[in-house]
Amino acid sequence: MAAARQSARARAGEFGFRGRFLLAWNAVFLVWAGLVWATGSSWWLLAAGLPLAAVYAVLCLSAENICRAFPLRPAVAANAVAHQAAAAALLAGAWVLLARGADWLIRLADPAAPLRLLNSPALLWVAGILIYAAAAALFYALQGVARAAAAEAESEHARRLAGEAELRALRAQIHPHFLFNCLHSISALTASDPARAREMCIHLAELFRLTLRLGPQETITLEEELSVARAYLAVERLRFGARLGYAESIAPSALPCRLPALLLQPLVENAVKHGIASLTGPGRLRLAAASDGARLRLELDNDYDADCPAPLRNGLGLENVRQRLAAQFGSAASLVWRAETGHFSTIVELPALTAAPMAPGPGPVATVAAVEGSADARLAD
Amino acid sequence: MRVLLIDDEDLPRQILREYCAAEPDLELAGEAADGFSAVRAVAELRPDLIFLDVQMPKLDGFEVLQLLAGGPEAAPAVIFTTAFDDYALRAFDAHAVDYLLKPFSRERFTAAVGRARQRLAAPAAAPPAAAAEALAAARPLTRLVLRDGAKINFLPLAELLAAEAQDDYLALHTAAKTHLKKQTLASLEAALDPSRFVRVHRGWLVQLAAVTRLDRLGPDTFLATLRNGLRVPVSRAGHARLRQLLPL
Repeated sequence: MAAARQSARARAGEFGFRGRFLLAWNAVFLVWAGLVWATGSSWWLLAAGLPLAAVYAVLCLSAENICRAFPLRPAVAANAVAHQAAAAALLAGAWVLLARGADWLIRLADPAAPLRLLNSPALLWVAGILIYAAAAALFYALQGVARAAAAEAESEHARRLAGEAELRALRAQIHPHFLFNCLHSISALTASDPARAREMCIHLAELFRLTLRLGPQETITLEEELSVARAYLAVERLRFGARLGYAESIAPSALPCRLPALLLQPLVENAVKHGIASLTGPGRLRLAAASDGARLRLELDNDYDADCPAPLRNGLGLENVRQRLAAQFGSAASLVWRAETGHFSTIVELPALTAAPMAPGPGPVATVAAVEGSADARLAD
Repeated sequence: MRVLLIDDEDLPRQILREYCAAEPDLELAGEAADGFSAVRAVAELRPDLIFLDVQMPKLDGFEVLQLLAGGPEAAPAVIFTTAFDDYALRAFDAHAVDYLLKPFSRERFTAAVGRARQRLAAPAAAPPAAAAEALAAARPLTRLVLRDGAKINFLPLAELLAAEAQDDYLALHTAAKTHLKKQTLASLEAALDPSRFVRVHRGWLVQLAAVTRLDRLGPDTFLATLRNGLRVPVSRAGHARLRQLLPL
């Protein structure tokens, strides 16, 4: 499918530059007319010359065919030059003969017409070869440009495929040790607090179901992404207890915004793994999202142990997220993070894309939840 | 047996408590929720057996083990509890008393405690440090932990220019100062990335990136100069290793 589209585009490109090549001949016609006028030559020259030039323009298109059959690669360059030279000699010769014919017709009509150009067949032949050479050079240049563009499209396609594969792998891995730790916690709870054990099973199942359901979709709404994060945090809250305080403030206008699937998730996991888990006492994690209709802004703050050396905090997660953003949005998206004694914040900004067009303007902040109790209640929903 | 439970999460400690209660000869000495308090608790409570989690705040399980091995007290028997089942764990299986993969059953726990009983009845040849080494060899070490009295310091590996064997201790040379640590050069070498740190002499290990000059003194003796000006003797074998890795 993509390949068919691509070759169709390539063909359109060829027609494009054949057309442009013929249009460029208009300039030649104008110069010719100018010369006729300036030298005070007979207007017969123009009348005979224009169709003659037009015919030669079409003949020169064959340079493009030869150019396609014999591309300028080092191994076959000599071959290409030989073929083009032969074609140039033949076509220019044919052109001289045509000019002879035109000459004869003009003489029939007006025996007094001074026909300077056609009087010198050798000069015309050389001019024909030079024009052909210019046309061939132009086609080779255009071919080079088209080839570079095709290579670029090809590598872009490859990059996308690689990105999709990476995403699939990301989903598949759902960190085995996270799963094992959760099962261990459930195993502990079955004896002491069966109700919480069940709760944890349900949150864990929800997390897996949501993550696996994402399927081949490339983008999901922030609302869907948030439900993954909430299921994950509900599980982690059962493990970490009071150590994990969670608050979120999500603008309703941000919810329908679409973002690459599981873009936020590694950031949230980082905040827990390298932030909350590094603390011996209670720590806070805050998630905020806002959209002004043009930009979606996600903000994640968490506490961490300032004594903990940096390499233990910065996983590969941040770099991966940055690469995914760059691959998808280029410079239109950004990811910045900042560590300030015990406080780590990550800010993601990307174009606010929605399936249905959205009324611009900042939406009111709907939920500003405090730490602890209320967050717990919402997570348990 | 007096037992210390070390895990940063409450639920895993809870399950250990539950399993311990079913073993009549186990006496719960205490619990610790991070690496620092674990090291302190071992010094204060002198347990016979510790259950040690790997991923914890402050110090991880391997670092706790490193400190216990270098400390003045007799190190307790160690059973690791972890969710990682890398093959590295098999490597240290030979050295540590046991390891329990989370989640583990009561039967598996009882078997591990049984092995600890045997180990304590007949003190083993392998000190716990060997387990730490085996594990450290399989995961990238980013820092060394040093104990200075009651204080615990970290030495990032990038700062370690060279290590020199001095009797039972290692002199760890950095650009700023020299630290002393109770460890053998061989065990440090085993824990480090061999493409970054090279044993150049019986008593010396250097960071490759710190070497600025290499001179020949005699037919079989060489001298390496480090970027802080420190001069390090290099043996013939050490020279061969250096030449392989250095673009000199």
